[in-house]
Amino acid sequence: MNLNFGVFTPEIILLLTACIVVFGEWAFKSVDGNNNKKNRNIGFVTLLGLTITLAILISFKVVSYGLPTYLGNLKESTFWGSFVLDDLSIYFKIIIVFSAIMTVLISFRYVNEKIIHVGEFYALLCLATIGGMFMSSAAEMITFYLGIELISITSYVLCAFNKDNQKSSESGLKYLVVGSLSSALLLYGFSLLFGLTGKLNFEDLALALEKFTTPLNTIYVIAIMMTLAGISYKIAAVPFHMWAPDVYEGAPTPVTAFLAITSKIAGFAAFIRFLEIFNLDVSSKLIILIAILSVVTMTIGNVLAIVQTNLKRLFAYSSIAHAGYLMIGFIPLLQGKVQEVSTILFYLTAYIFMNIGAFASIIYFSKYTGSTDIDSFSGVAKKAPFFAFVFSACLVSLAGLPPFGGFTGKFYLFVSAVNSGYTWLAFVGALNSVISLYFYVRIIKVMYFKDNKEDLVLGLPNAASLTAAIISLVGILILFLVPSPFIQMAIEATTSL
Amino acid sequence: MDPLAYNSFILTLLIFLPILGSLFIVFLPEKNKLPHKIALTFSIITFFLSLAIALNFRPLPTNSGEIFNFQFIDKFKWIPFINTSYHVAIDGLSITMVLLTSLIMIVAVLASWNVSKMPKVYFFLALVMQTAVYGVFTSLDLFLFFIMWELELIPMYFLIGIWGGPRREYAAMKFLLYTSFAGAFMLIVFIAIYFNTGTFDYIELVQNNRAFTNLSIGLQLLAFTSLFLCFAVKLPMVPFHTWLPDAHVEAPTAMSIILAGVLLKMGSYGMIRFGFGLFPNVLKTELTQQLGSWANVGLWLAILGTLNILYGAFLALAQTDMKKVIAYSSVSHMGFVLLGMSGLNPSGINGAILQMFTHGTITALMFLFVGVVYDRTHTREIAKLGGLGKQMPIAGAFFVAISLAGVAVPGMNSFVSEFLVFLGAFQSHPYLTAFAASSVIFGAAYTLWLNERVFFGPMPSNWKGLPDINKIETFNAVLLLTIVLVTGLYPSLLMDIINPATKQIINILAV
Repeated sequence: MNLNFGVFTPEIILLLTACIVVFGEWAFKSVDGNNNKKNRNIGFVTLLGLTITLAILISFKVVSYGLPTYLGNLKESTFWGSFVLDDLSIYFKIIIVFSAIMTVLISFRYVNEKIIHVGEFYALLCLATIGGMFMSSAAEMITFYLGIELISITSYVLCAFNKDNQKSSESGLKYLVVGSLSSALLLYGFSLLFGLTGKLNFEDLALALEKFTTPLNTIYVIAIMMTLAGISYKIAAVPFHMWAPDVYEGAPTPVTAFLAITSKIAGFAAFIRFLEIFNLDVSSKLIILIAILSVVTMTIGNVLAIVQTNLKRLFAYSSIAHAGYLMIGFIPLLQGKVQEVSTILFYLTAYIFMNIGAFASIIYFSKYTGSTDIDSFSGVAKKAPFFAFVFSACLVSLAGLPPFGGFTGKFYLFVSAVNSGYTWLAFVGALNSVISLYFYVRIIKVMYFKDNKEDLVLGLPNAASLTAAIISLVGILILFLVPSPFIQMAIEATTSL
Repeated sequence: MDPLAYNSFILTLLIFLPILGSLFIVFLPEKNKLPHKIALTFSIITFFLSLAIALNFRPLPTNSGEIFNFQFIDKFKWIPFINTSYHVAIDGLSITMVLLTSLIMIVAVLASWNVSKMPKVYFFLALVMQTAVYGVFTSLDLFLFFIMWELELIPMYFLIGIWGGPRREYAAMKFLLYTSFAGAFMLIVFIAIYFNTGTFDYIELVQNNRAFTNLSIGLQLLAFTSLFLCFAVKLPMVPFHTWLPDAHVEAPTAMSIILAGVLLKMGSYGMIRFGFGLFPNVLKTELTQQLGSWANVGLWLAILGTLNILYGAFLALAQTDMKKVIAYSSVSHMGFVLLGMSGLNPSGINGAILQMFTHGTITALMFLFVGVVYDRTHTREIAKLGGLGKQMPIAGAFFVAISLAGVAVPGMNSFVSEFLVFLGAFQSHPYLTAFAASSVIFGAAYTLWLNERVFFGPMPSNWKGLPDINKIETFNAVLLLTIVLVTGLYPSLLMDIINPATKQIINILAV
């Protein structure tokens, strides 16, 4: 039976959540115009839906051990091979949904105060998450494309959600234009691949492409380039990174967090899926390209981040740089050492925690400073020591210094680079970490060393963002102190590749 | 305490006691100088614990051919996927540095008794840093060592950046970037070692001498040089020293004391432990026959050491800021460590290790008294000072004694260490050593001249009514000066521990 709807359970739950939330926007409408309670309820429903989804995904993970048949012997593909549920996709879905939960937590108050149609906002967030989940499960080009489109289109709307803010509209429109271009490139590449082989399924495609590798077919090369360009837009790798700073700056801050974290994870899931279709002949040629792109991406991201004065722009460049570090992990994959993909998975896990902590602090501080300029954060450390501490810890972790998870993740990536024979790449990565230290520490410096403005009053943080901050702090510490179980999970996730 | 028992947790306790103290500081109120008192309590406890460890330490008999004398070993698997473990232990080299750290920490906490700006954060950071420094001196796992090395950066960055002088932000950032840039080199070398051998464990690496047996000697030399450069930045070695004067001048007194007294030693410790320990092949003289005369690493060390000694001394002569004089004198004195190592013989390395200890004590004293002067006059400009000895006779007397220690007068511990350094280096590089020995004159010149310009001569009238040193400062001075004198008059106290450690290193080099 090829129509196993069981594998869709998490997506279906999340889709239902999205519907309920949109419905709730209308159903909970209060008479007296005070929307606080309604907004909070909608937020809770979203959170509940996401948590149930996460629980189901974790149960998949647990069930898949020991039990041989139900939900696949670690690998279940359904709908004629278009949708695959294996360890890798479950791992990716778990971190995608987890990051979405954290994003909802940090955006609770922001959404309550600044967003008019709360139900729509959360519904779109859920839909975007579903898109990311599809990307990590796609085993065939159409599904793959649909997943990318689902996350992209919802993201365009989310970026423009601050309806009275010009920058937000600009951000949405820019993202739309650039995103459409990248979709077009991707689709063009796919159509060429389909034209060459007549196959849609990645596995069949990989087999059918064998005969175009020696000698390398020109159309095949064009198809590869187009497709890679399309996906590179998604992870904001140089030279397809130009959209990121403007879009990140204009978007509502929770959406920025979503783009920087969830969307990026989904992009990497898609990238890994796609790189699988190449045989060793082609991938050995791709390695040098990926290595160069990785170096350029991290260097440009880090160097341009130095001159930024706005935190959201800075985090855009920082996320570009991190895409560069993460691309190091593709090299062992292209060499056929699939187990080393665990470096990417582990780093992405750490990446969630450190970014969530940082964005929780940005959202909290900017509520009171009224701006996301770095200088507006002067001296906040004295008024809000805990958030300043979490922010600093996350920044240090992003820079790759101990004792935080970012260090372990980076170390693990560099070890795999050296293992693959790319010592110079690890060296460039290490030097880049030093560059990044400069601008990350500059934020800490502003928070701690500068005197604060007298009139700045910081209110109490809300419970949700406080929870998120504590989780992220604990998360980066645990990932440093006891990384083994997480690495173990990441390695197990790669066995299905 | 049985030093040979495995996993006795004694050393682990010592390493993490300061962190425990820092947690107390975070969660207890700030009133009544409570952070100060907690920090002092914990630094005293750690001092006595490290003293107990030192007294229970059993040095090897000097004629044994052993290459390890590690005791109080704690070892647990940490991340099996990269084959790394939490592995700490001490030998003669480590315990000397651990003792120095504990001692300097007490002095530093007492010297910061008047800190009133965010004392909670201040002592929290200071104690976290203490843990990191203990970790650096005791780690036997390269991964753990790297973590501890980097862990020390962030607290020091804050300590300079928040509590420092007017240009503190610049100095703190410079310190951070220089050291972490150097750290990148170390990281890559360590990963390369791991890739070639499959382990981060120091004992395994040295024991089987398999660190780089399957690598060409050229690559070994490259790896050694990278590692050496990383430690050279911390040492600091000319021309990578420029962060030091800035950091020293801007740092608060207590942090200057720690920086010069302990943190610089991390560089020379790393060179001896990892540079010499992991790359004995690179230091062999046969290398010159293989690769040409430029590959004589010992000679390079001697040249760089001499350069450090003389350059530091000349710059110290030219400074107009009291603290800068001491900062450059640190550069000069750390050059002795390099020179001692360059001898590659027992007396040279003995001298280098002892010099690490003596410089720690003496330079701490010097910075202490710069702090004393600065606290009272609020200037470090030498030209504005003078004749303070009349107003502060006790301080003046102490400073004369310290200056004598600084110029290595017989009876002070610096005499022993510098003598050993010259003795060892002379056997291998007679001309360079003779050249470097001229620094004895320059050293005397800048130290005594500084003394004369600050404490003697006519006193500007605005310094009338300055109080003499208080009880805390006197205690600090007496404590350190006693140690300087005792180890100077009876060096065997330390040499009995250091000498076997040196023998181990020689044995490793001879393999």
